[in-house]
Amino acid sequence: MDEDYLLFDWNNIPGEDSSKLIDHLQKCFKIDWLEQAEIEKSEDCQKITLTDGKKTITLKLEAQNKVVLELGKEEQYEYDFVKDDAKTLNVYNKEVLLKLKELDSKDDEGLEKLAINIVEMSMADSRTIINSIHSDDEDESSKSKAVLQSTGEIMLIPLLQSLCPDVPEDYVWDMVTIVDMQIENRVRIANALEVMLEDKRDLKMPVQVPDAEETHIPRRVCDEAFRMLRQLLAFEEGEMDQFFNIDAFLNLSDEEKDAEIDRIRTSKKWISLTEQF
Amino acid sequence: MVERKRIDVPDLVLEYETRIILLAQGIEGHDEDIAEKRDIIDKNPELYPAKRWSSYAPHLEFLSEQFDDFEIVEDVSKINEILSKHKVNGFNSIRKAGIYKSEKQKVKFVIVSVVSKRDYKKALETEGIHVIYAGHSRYGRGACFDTYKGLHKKEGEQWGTGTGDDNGLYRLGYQYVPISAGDVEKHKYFFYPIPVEEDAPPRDGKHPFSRHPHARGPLGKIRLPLEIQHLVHPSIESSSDTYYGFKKGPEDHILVKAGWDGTVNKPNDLGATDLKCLVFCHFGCSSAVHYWDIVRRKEYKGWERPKPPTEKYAYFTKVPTDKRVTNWWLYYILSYDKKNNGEPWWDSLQWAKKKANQKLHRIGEAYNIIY
Repeated sequence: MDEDYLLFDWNNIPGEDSSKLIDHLQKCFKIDWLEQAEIEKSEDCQKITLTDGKKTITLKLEAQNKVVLELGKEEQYEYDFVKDDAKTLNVYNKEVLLKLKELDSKDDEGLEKLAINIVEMSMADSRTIINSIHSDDEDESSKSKAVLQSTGEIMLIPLLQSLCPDVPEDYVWDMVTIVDMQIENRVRIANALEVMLEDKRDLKMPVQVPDAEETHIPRRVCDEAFRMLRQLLAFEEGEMDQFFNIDAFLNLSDEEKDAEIDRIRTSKKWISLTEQF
Repeated sequence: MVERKRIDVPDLVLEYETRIILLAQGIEGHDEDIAEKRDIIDKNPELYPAKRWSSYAPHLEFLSEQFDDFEIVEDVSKINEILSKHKVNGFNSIRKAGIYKSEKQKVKFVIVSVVSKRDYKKALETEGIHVIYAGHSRYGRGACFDTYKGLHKKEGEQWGTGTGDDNGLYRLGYQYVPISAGDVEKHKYFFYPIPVEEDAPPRDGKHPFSRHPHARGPLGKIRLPLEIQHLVHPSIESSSDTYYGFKKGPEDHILVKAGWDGTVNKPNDLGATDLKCLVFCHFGCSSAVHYWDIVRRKEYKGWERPKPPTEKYAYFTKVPTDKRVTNWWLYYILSYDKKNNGEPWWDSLQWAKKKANQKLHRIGEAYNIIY
């Protein structure tokens, strides 16, 4: 278990870990009465109850090393516990949403760690499949390739990370698959942008400090879609050329911008991309 | 034959490297000005939600809240002593400094805030340092300074050319820049419009452009409002009080003489500056559209980053900017978590750019910093 997600020792509640439990519940569920809550443990030590006399929260030890938190009848959350020795029964945060709620928005390190954690968990199965695509067992290899191709872009990053140039044919097969996935992604994104190009709603511009010298240029949803489309398609532009071209576009009137959007939608490049939709 | 034993060379560079960051705070961007605006922000939480605006704060104070070991030094003689150890001398407008040692980077950062135009130029000409300008762009005319104590004065020549080497514009803009007529009326400084009795500034088709990117369309003729007619610089004459410009939205924009080389502010312009600093950051309004070409392209100053990128790093902002950009930039410069002493700065700068942009995006601002 990852010690960063250790919440409290079940055996220290009520007692020295009570504040850790209350702190966790307050952070995650914003419950205001917890400060004054009474905390009790059942005689068989299987259940912890927090109550203010009217409202109640319970935590129960369950089979398969689970702790279940009940907030009313509908709302339940699961935690893991590990019995380290006769004295210690550590409870760990398991659910992503609760891990997120536990973190402070300023805690960049914690947020990054959680992101890595999520990526690792979500990629575990992908990696298992990828490890089998060039297996000596032809049947296993064929099945893995089929799964990989059907799963699509979720496999892209683990496949890229596992690229191995040792066998040229495998090397090329993997890269062809990666590029296919990427093209498919690009088409999907362009498809979504195509819809956005029709959307003429104004965007709310960020609020500025009092007496700001320059103001934000007003933008519509379709203007932002156009900007993103350029980022997606205009490979020949460097970052700064793209910046200046988009800046020039945003400084046009709405009518001029609409005409520019129409122009790009009838361009060869756009048509050939939309033909892939 | 005796096989030579392979020796693993451990990290021999155990010494901290000192990196000096000169933070040039422009007019209306001194700590007292920021604190005054912070007060307005705090009193209007519906307009300025705390989650998004808590990082709007005087720069060094912000950093000292983020890092436990960040030390603020207010004794100017002590700051000069630290700087002179690194052969960085002669700054006349130091306000304070912040010192932070990054254990992970093995770098000691010394951030020194200055407020004069002279010091900004000196910083740009100082070898191997990181220079940040945080202030107004004056609609693309440059960086603008004043050395007041307390709060800035709203009117006066310090908003334009200035009255000497310490205040007013350090120019680094295109030759002709459009400014709002309201700005002249608000700050009451002499300006340099182009009378219609003269030829219109050329509409070039390629670099070097003389006109700012936002003034490359057709020009109209604008009769100046009475309130600002007397603020046309005496060297300029128009019998009709009519000058080149255009209407943008409800407002008149007047094309004015600005420039970066051989300007009325010479030697306080980019052309007369021997850029030796390692990092040039201009975090004032939309500085990328105002200055990127001028600083980077060979048709202008031509301060190009070499390949591989080992020096001449420059960063600008893409959209109207406030103090949060500088704060998050500095925060991530200090937060970089890899060994960095004796290394080229590129990786840590690019990391800071990415992280600061992500942070700004999270608090509802645009991806703002660009190189």
